[in-house]
Amino acid sequence: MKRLLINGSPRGKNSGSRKILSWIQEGFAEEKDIQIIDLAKVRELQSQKESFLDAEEVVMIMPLYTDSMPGIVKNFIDSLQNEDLEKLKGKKLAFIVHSGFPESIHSETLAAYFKRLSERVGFVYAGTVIKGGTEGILNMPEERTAKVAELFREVGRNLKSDWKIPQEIIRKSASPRVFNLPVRILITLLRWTGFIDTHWNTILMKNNAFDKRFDAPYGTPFGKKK
Amino acid sequence: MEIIILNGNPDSSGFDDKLDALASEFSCRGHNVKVISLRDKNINFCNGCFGCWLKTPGLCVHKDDMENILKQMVKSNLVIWASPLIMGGISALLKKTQDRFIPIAHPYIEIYKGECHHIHRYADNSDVALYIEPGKDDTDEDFEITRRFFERFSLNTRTVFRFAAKTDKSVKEVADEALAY
Repeated sequence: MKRLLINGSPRGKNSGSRKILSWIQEGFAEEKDIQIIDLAKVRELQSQKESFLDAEEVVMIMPLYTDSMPGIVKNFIDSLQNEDLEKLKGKKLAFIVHSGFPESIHSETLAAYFKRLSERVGFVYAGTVIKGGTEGILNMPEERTAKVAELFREVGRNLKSDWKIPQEIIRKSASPRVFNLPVRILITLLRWTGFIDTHWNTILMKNNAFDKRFDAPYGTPFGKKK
Repeated sequence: MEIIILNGNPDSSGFDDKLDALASEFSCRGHNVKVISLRDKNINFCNGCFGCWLKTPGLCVHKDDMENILKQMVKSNLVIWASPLIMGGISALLKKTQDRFIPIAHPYIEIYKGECHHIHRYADNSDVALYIEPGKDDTDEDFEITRRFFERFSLNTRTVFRFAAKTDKSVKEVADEALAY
């Protein structure tokens, strides 16, 4: 079985998507016949397309960009538009969408798109796994990623056995769709105290950019009158 | 009113003429309108570096034509995102332009309309609209999914989503809808 794992992150090898991809690969527990491509290498589009046409089973993993797919992923999909449908029909596809946003409502439309794309082209669609709150997973210590790693190994194992992702996994991974009221109040309080910004502010300080964080080079900054 | 039409058509076709006709309609009604043909611009893919958030806030690491487009967009009242449907969605050309929007947001998150959203960098963002040319294989569902993507985009950028229209509407009808606010 020729398997292809596609990393749709513009950050390439140094990305959360690649980390998720490695967990799925562990779930497949095979080294043979698994090919990995990074769509960030946009100049290799032609050979990436050939790898896709050659593969029988494909998992596409990507971060959420503007509540949709990154431009490099759409670029790859658009490259298939003039392909003979017979070459695409019957190919087995699964999709993983992860986001810094913790709620899955941000990614739902993209999942709907991939389902519809699969219908249009005739892919055997295993589903779209949505995972929120993945900002920083690449550099997290193993104990902090143990749960999410196991989730994706489980996805890999299920795909390997019958190219299906159980609804239970999809449902669990996509929870919460939106936060309930107490959590929303908590976030608002953390916002008010500024505590919620700690992660970003630490990086801004490290980069000597903290004083410039509210810069608005093209117009009037938010909160100021025009 | 200042209106920008972002033409995401990757190849020259009748869709360009339709956008020019729409621009003329706005001009006739006394508005300043500009069609930006994205395929003639040098626009790089966002590389996800977060430099525009964390190193040079508000400024992208890519020095290309997007800088000038963002400057114009920040100052306009309405941006119409226009594209033929390709594989059931907006063109990759328009999508990569949309990705390059993140310098106008902050990394900071707050609850807005019950969901986590990024805080604005600018006092105002231009309103959003969507103008789509479906192909022969595209269904109402394709248009609806595309419309929903832009509804989300508008929510993320805290803007008014003025309309989503297909090219089966006359330019007069589209202009009426755009100006109904």
